[in-house]
Amino acid sequence: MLSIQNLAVSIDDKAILKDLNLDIRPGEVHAIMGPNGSGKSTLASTLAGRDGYEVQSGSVRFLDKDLLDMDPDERAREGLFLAFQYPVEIPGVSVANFLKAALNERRKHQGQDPLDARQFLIEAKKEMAALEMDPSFLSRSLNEGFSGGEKKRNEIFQMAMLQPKLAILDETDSGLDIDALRIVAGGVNALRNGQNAFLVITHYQRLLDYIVPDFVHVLYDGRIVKTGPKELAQELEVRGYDWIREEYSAIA
Amino acid sequence: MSSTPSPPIADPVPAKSPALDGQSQEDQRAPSYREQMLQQLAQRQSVAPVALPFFQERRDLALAAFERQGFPDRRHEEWKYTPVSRLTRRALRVFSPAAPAASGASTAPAESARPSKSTTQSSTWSKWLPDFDANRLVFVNGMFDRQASQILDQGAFSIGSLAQAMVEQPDTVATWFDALAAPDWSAFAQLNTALHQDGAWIHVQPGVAVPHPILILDIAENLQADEVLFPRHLLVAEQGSSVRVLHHSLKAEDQASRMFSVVETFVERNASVVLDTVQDGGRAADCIHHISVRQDRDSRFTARTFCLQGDLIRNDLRVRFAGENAECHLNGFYLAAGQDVVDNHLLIDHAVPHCQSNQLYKGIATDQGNAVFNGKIFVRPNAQKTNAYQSNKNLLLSAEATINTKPQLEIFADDVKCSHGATSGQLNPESVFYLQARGILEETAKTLLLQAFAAEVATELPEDAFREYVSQRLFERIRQVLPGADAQTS
Ligand SMILES: Nc1ncnc2c1ncn2[C@@H]1O[C@H](COP(=O)(O)OP(=O)(O)O)[C@@H](O)[C@H]1O
Ligand SMILES: [Mg+2]
Repeated sequence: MLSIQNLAVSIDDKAILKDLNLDIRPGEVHAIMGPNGSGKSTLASTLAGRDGYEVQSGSVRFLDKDLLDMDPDERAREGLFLAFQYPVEIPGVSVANFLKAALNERRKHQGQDPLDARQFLIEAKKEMAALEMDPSFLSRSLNEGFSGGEKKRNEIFQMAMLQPKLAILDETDSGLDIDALRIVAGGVNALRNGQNAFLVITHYQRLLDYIVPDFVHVLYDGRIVKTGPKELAQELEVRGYDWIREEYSAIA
Repeated sequence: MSSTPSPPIADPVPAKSPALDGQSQEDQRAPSYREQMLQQLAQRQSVAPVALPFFQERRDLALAAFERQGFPDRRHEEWKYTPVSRLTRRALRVFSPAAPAASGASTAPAESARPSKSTTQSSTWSKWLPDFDANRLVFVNGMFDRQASQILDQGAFSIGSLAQAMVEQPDTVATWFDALAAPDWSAFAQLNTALHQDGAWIHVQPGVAVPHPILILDIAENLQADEVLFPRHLLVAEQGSSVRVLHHSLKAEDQASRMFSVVETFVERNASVVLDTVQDGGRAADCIHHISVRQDRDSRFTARTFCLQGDLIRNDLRVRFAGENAECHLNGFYLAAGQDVVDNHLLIDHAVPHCQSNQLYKGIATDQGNAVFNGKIFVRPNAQKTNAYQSNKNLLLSAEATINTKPQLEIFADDVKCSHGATSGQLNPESVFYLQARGILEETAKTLLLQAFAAEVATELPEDAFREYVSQRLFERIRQVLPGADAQTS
């Protein structure tokens, strides 16, 4: 589904990702862990197509298409979703209007008819109930004045509505209490269907107790320096990242 | 900003006709402005007979004032950014209804006209008639169109034609007419007083609330290149009364139009007036609009101004607090695209203590458009406990668009709360990316964001078909001016 090969990315001429390789197949959940500043969000932003992330070399294929050649909106319509680490506040654009526009762009792309207002509302309320969100969120301005937890929940709500093929979750767990974490993880698990895939970026192993990954990768200094089964997350939780650092400098 | 490249329009007026050329030729012309204007006045009088010498005196005085000051140019501080030459390089002649555009021009009093609501309009502008209940005063090329108008409400108020009221109740009209005129009124406002045709006369007796809004439609239709319209509206809300007015000026055809209009508004003690103005003249429409408001004690006044389209729009909105504990809200939205110039000048005169004024103006400039905002807050020495707030927010969508924003606080009292803020910036790229990352096309994303920016002013409109109309049209304009934006938002 996603194939990243020898990807190198720089920001303002500063090399951030260096020779990164990653393959994700349908149905898989991959976790990326790593110390602060190792490049996790850079990877997420590059995949989503944010401006200012200069791909120096390498390639990314998504569903057998050249991902890096697409505009951000095209990537989303193809089924890529990024749950932002820091969702932007957009005053004056209601959650409902925004999401309806997004959903109908996606549907149009897939050759489906647009949802009418009533169908949309039914769908939206169903997903919100599952995420224990108040329906009044729909009429609020997008992320404006939302608490940290509400913003993250809103990201997952959008994901549930848009039904992506590949969802990238960038530290969706940060700022969530344990109840919210469980709800959000429930939302992700409900979406899993064997056809779609998840790339879960996190700092803590906690989230991975609920969203159980097939693979855990450690990103360090712009490279994936270690890949293991879900137990690797527990090991990192116990031992921290210092041993990774030592191992890495030993090879490098 | 350079002036428009539109080709000079040949003067179609015979040499003898009372045409008034632009200031550039001022020096060479033998007949004075005054002579020309007097001829035009004579022409006017056949349309609106003068019932009281007072009205003639006001015309004469205004003409004299105009003669003294002439048209402003860019050396004039208040007109620094307004390309007046766009207006004055063509000859000026008062529109004359030789062949009346208004088919139903009869002599019956406006107040007795009660055309049925089902009257069908064949005119090109009938699509602008609202589909909600409103009292409606329609002026086509400055002439009252009785058939298209409708008065739903009856009570202790007059809603009708000013020219007619001047004939039928001259003393009442004279109590207010031109009472707000000041020597610093612009040449255009002075000309309006001298040459005004017709307009709305809205007079609400003490303690009365007019049930439905009053819609004033100012329509320019098939004007000759040299013809100018001078609509003049007079709005009086006596003590404790309330009224909501929607003033919509537009152009039915593609021909150029020029409108120099004046609205005088009196909000007397404890009265409440809402004046919503929509300027949507289409291309080649020039609109110089002057609103003067006097607020007495405990009164409330709200003005919302939407400048949607016009080559040159210049608004002077002046509010004077003449009694304590009064409050005004002046909000606006403007859009300057192409080579449009949209210039909003506000002046709030805190002449007495304990009043509150609020201004929120938001604008978008794109292409080579130029938007000007000048908000002057004048607090006189005795006007203690004044609260005055001003906010002006602008978005610039192209490198060649310009915004000139200037708060002007002149505060001579010491116990005053005043705040002002002005911003000019671009759309936040992070916001655009967020929307794009959900599959929304870039142009649609920008449209959504611009609409959200503009909606802040429109959403204050009471929930009705007029709000619907304004929002729709606002959003449509935003879609039009975005480069490459034909995408729909849903
Ligand atoms: N916009 C930017 N400009 C310059 N440097 C940046 C920018 N964004 C991130 N970086 C740098 O890139 C590195 C990786 O950051 P990031 O991808 O956010 O790490 P992580 O998400 O793993 O904490 C850090 O050194 C950070 O300072
Ligand atoms: Mg990060």
